[in-house]
Amino acid sequence: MTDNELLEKLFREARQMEVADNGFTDRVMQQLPQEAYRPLLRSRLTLSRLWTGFCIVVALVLFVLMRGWELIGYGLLMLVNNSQALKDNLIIFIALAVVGGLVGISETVRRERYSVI
Amino acid sequence: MFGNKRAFDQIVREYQSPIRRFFLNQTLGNEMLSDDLAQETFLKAYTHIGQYRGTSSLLTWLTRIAYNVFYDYTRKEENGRRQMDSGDLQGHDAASASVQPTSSSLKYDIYQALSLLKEDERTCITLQLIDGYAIDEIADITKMPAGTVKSHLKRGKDKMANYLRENGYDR
Repeated sequence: MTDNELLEKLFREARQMEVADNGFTDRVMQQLPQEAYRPLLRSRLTLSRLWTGFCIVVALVLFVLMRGWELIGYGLLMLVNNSQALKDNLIIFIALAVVGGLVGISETVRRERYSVI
Repeated sequence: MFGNKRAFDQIVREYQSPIRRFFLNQTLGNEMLSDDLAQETFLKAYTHIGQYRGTSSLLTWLTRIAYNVFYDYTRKEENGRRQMDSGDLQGHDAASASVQPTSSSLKYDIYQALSLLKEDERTCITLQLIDGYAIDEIADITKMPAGTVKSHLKRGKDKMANYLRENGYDR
């Protein structure tokens, strides 16, 4: 019998051993600190939200300073004039753009929440 | 997911067995000590859960915490014993000094054989042969270089195989 076979024979049973809970989980749960984690979580969540808010404000300021509506209007006009398909389905495309934007915003908020948890 | 106690309850329930088994192997079957250390492990996991980034499995992350808890425990024990006396030490390391194999579900032979090993050898051997970790995972858990892990495994296996042959385990 080789060394590996010997050790395999010895540890076979140990590998399959399951330790019964017998109230261990409940004892751990009773010992958990009440507030140890929450202040940390709150401060990180606040920091994350402040950063998101800052980015939104910067984006809005740039939008106003650069007259973003004119750029968007011009771009849309060009698109509509150059695409027959877009002309025919303008309402659908606008609806899709709005839905896509809303989904993007909600996904950002969701990720922000889970990234700190 | 991790922000509430109910989710953490599920984590403890799912992973208590491998974590307590890890400590049983390191303490050579001392159930009371193993449960205390396992409890400390889960408390640390709860307070540091924000640091889990999902780059390794949750069990590997918990085992890394367990290893650190055991490492701290043995260092504290060693320092305490050094301060208490300098001459009449029994046993060669902290874990074997507190050996009280009370687990009836594991063969006593395993703990006898594991007691021959130094702590690092025992950790590497049990992580590989019982918990099924690869060498690079053991290196990640213990923060030892992979070459050191390999050396501990080789020496540990040689010692255990010799002991088993001497005790007729190969028949």
